[in-house]
Amino acid sequence: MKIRHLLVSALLTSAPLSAYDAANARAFLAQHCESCHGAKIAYGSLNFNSLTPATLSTETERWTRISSRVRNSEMPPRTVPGPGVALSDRKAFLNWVDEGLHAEACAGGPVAGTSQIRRLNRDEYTATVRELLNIHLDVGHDLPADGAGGQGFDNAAEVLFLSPVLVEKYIDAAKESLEYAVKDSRARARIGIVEPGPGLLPAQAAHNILQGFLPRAFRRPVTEKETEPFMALFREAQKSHQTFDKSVVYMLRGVLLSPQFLFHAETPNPGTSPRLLDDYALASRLSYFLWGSMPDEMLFDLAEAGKLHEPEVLKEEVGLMLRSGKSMHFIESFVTQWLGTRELGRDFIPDPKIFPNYSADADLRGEIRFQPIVFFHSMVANNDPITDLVDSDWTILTRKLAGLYGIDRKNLRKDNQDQPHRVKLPPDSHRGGLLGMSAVLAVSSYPYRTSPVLRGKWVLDSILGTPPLPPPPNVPALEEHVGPAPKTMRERLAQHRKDPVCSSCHSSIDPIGFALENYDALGQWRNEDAGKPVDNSGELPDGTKFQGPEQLKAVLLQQKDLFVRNLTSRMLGYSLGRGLSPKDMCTVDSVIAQLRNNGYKSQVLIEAIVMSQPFQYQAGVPAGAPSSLSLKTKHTVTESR
Amino acid sequence: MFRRFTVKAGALLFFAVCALAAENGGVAGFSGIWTGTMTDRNGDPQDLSFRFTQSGNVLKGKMYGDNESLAVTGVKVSGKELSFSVTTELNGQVTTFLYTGIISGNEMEVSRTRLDLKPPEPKQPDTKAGNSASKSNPPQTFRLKRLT
Amino acid sequence: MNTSGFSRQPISRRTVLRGAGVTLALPWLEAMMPAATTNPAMPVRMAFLYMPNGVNTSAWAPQGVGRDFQLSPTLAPLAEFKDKIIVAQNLWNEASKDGDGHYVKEAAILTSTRISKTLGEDLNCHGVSMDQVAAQRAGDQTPLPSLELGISPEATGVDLAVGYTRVYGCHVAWSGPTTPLAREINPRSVYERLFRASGPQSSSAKQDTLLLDRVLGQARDLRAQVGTADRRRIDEYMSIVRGLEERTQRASSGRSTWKPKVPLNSAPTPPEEPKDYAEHVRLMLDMIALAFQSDTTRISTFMFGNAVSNVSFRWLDGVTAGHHDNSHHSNDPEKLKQYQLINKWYIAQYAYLLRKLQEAKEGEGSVLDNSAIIFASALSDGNSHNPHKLPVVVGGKAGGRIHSGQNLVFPEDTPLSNLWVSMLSAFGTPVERFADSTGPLPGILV
Repeated sequence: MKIRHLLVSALLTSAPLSAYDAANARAFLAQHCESCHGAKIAYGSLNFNSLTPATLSTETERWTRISSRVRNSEMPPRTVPGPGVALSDRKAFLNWVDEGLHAEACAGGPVAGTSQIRRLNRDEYTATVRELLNIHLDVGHDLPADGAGGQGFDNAAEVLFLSPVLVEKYIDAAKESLEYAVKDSRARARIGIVEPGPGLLPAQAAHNILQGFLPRAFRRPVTEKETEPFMALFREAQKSHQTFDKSVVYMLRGVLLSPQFLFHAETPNPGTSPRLLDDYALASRLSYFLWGSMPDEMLFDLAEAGKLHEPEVLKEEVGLMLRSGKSMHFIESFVTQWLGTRELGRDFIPDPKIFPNYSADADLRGEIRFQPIVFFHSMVANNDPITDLVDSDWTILTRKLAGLYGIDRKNLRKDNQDQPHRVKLPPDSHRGGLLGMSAVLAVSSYPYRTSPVLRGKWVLDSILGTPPLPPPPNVPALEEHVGPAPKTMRERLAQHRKDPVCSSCHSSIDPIGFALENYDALGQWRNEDAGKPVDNSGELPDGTKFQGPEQLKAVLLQQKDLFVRNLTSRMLGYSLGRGLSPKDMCTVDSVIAQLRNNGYKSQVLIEAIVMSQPFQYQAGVPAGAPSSLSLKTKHTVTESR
Repeated sequence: MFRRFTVKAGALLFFAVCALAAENGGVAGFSGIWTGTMTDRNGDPQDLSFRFTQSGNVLKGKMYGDNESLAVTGVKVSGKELSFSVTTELNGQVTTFLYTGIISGNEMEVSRTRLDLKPPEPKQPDTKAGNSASKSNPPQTFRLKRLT
Repeated sequence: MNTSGFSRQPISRRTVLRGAGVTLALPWLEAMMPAATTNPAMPVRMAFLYMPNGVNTSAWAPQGVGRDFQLSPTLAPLAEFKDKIIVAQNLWNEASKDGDGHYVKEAAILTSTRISKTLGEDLNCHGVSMDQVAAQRAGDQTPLPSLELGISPEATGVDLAVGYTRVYGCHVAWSGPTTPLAREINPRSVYERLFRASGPQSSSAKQDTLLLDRVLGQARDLRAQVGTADRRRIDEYMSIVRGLEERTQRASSGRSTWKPKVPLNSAPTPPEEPKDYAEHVRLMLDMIALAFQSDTTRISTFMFGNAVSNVSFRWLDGVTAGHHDNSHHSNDPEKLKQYQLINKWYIAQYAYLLRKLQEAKEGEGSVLDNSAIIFASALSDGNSHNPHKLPVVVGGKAGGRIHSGQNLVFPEDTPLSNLWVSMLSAFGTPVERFADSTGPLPGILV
């Protein structure tokens, strides 16, 4: 079950929806579906004849599938003769189904949702080993990068799969980091290595280490029995006459390869109803959410005292965690994946011939990449409203960024101008919010030129959370001519929008991009492009007109609900390390309500997520539920002898 | 509802326990995890968190750090007053801070004084050393809140 | 390659990566050779090179049929190998014909299946990739069962516009329906891995075996505690650890006669950070050549880029745009020209690998003579995401098991899986059926 722009897909188009009701939905099914899925012919054993709108509550699965297939233009298939389904009709139907499903899902209030076991991703692994051993090495540098799932983040349980090469790298990384650590006095202290000597037998010394180390590595208290396998490793090494240090390394290698270390493994809830997480599991969820690493001593102490889940304590602790420098890992990870700016400098490199200023200056490159991250951090630290991300009267600058943006240096702070810092923007700077930032404007362009289509799509997807519907399969993607073509891009796109198939989406996409045409592909301001004045005007299908980034941002802020819902969903998905299901939409609604009642303050967003049902509770196993594990795999290979 | 009930019960219990502990003062009264925010020399906020545990008639403590916690030394308790020192080392520069606090309910008014700027002789801090703080180094005051 | 803005200290690299050699006794390898192998001394190798974004179809297909054919402009860099390649035309993967333009086609190119549409949950390709079918049957004959390589790291995010996680666009090798195989993208890391895998096994291998055994015990404990839904992950972990344990055990048991056919240090150590895309590609191809030449593995997959790759080719003469950008040419002659130049550059890289393997002498012939090196894209025309008439070339003679030197034009929409059946046969791990296959392709197998 996938939810994308639930409720909202149609808001940016002209389709009038208010009058749509159950009768319309029934008519839609009759007109577009029942020739194949009806009483006479029931392809796929699907007969929609009996599927009245009243069945939304009883046939949730079915309606969800219908919604998804209609949304993806898979149904009705294009091969069906006739005029096909008008996009406005499709959207109105989808909107009605989605609203119905949403109301249905929310009937019982927010629910915990199932959290899968998931392994530490590369960044979490690196940070955790660093913290555990107190060594300052990038121990995960050789691990394969992780892909993204769910709301678009690389901590989604469902895509954190395992590969032999990954496990080989775990073996190497554990060995290398432990061998390094036993030679370092600070690391030895952190691990708790005390040399055996008079009155301290080697086995006792090893056991002492495990008693301190194992609970930190497993992020929960351990039993005496759980230390035994590792003691066995120590004894084995001693038997083959290894030194004490080497035996300890061997023993701890076992710990770092244990799935109890490598996976976020919460004690499962055996009951049928949701259960409050134990404080240790909560400490881990918190620290991997807000720090991208293992809990610190204070979190462990609070968990040990059994106090962490108490709302007053939790709120205080969230504040402390956000103010700590370690929250930068969370913000970097969240922001760069949300905005797609992680690709900057990796797969996406602005053309060095066109932007020599970028390719020649490593400082500038770093400052461009970090601007949205530091902005987000500063916003949270100050508890500014999240709408500042859309537009703000301040930003983060350095001397070089100010130069790139044509902002007078006298606006910067007096000293330390090379460090990113918060600056009140002068009027007409065009640099408020994310859309004024080079990193964002670059990754939504081609490396060598801007594209109103890419920028428009980026805004719809990343800011509003309403990615355009996909083009029908195997229909040519949008064409944009470059080179010696006689017409301007705007004229070509205008022509393109005359095609009704293309126009249905591009009339919402392109105008947004046009309004940002004053920014070049690195986000530098320009009044002319290729010798002609930039035309930065746009008009949405509903007649909304705007000119330039400031007016666009004002229009976007009118769609504040979309933006707030989008950011909330993404952050909830990130915090839970999984994709959201329709049932989670209730939690999203409740977080949004808290934001609305508190001036959209950014800390409220994070606090409300931490306080939410899915963050604090474990779902129970529905009685009699089949294992979700039964692999429905076809055998595709027949071996011959 | 289940959740609401838990939250309320938790909060009630929380205040009850805290109130009890604070009434009594003394070694037991300070026992717990405390946190607060101080404004540092540059005007930036800095969080400070401590844990004190009762061990017999003695109070032991530590200060939480970003990376590792620091030992709290020279703890003295006298009625509602608490004093202790924390020594930090940064790039070879050893600094000792003296903290004095007065408990009031679930909060503690704390004042912090930097003891001596001369590295690196480790000096056994005591409460009287507070008087040696230079005039250019005025005490900083902040409030600690009890978490547990 | 650390591209993060935070400065991080690199891990201190071990400096002991020198000296190879010590061979171990006892012939376990011969005993395990598949019956189909005709020349046990000369194992067959198989590689699959994936090019994203399809081709300019007007410049791809050779003229003439069978042995008498002329290379097309795009295939021109293969002139010197004309008698060692097969161009296979009119193949397609029906299961990937719709869904979206890229992900379904790329992810399933070696599985010939229809992948589940998902942003992550229930990620499933519903099959095993052809290379992994071979690796699962013959991978125990070499230190590494297979080698998965790429250039770009895992793509960021999910593609909300089409509803697929980009994970699909980053993998062609699947060891199971839900287990895409991670790729290595750093040539230095690959080199070190090859080195370690093929090097002498010290006494530490025995210790590692024991260690992995304990880890398995830990995994069993956790497995008993978690709910059914989580067992699959633990099972995956256990099966990988068990595989590694067996591998280590084999290597340290003294029963293996495997030894590198050439010393690993005969190749130069690759740099940590390639200076550009072109060098990066060459270095990775060098690693495949080294792995094959030394016989550290016999199976490899390599991705020139992830699906929808828009790597900029502006450094290439005559090209002003990126790969994906140009693939949507809309019949603009200028874009078509650039698209073709990019295709040709990829073919030249393919030729580079063939040349390296050709230069590596082995017995009477070369490593290339004992290899089947497949080059393909999952689309033909990128503008329309056309799944028909896929561009496919097979280079090498697979130990004399295939008739190379041909342009084979099959009936339209012949299953690509038929080629995989032929390749698995040539490799020595024959299957009767693979996904939607209807039999081996005629005219390929000797």
